Amino acid sequence: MNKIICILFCTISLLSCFSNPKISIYELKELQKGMAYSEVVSRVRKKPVNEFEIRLNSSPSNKYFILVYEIQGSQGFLGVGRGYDSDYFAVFKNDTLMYMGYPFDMNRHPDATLNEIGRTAVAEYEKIK
Amino acid sequence: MAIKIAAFIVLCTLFSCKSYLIFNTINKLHKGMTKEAVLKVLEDKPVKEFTVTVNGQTYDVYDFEVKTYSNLVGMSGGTNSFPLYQDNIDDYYLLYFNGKLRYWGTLVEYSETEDYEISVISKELYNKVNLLNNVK
Repeated sequence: MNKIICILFCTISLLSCFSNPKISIYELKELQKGMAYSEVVSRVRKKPVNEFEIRLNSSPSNKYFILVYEIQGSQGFLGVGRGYDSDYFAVFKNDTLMYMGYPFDMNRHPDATLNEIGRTAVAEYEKIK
Repeated sequence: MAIKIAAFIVLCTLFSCKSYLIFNTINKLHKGMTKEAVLKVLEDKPVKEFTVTVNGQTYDVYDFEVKTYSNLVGMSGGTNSFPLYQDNIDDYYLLYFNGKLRYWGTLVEYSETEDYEISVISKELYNKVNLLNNVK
């Protein structure tokens, strides 16, 4: 009986590992601003949980493409590289990665354009997810 | 024995009832929101409220608690063993100027920000939080 429970537990654990869409913040360390969409998706082990396009009210002619990843929170090593349980956005303009970070980081950033991208992307993601 | 188990379950339930903010809720905040709008989004009340004054300007600060991540702390005993997680909770400070949301984050995030005005406020906020914690 114990063996069956043990095998069942291990199987469920393995299955949940493979089906878990969340990634560690470490896996995004290789991303660099300026990368193309294809390069970004090839460098991250798991697929983004969503992707969509937005336009800003202040400049409707500019299109931004958003990839959404889900981060598994972690303590990091000695507090360095700590990740939060949160969505994580990769923002592209003209197929070039211009920003990657947590939405809350974008929304409180000193750059007003980044604030607007963050706010618009969060609102759009709330509608489609 | 049954009473002890029941008491343990009740205590666990009570502890798990305490609500913390999560980052996917915080993601909905943006600069310029009113206090009422923020509270509506967060669906929670601050654990503490205070003010900080920097260069003659007074900022209102609301202190919330946020769940940052979970740690695996061990396995339960017995034959039906299961993993035990413990949530890591941090203080999270929302800063308002003239009733409008200006910045939000942990103390470390205030000190590391690229926002010059906030980096100036950071030191005063740190002192005020220490003072309040010592008084308590």
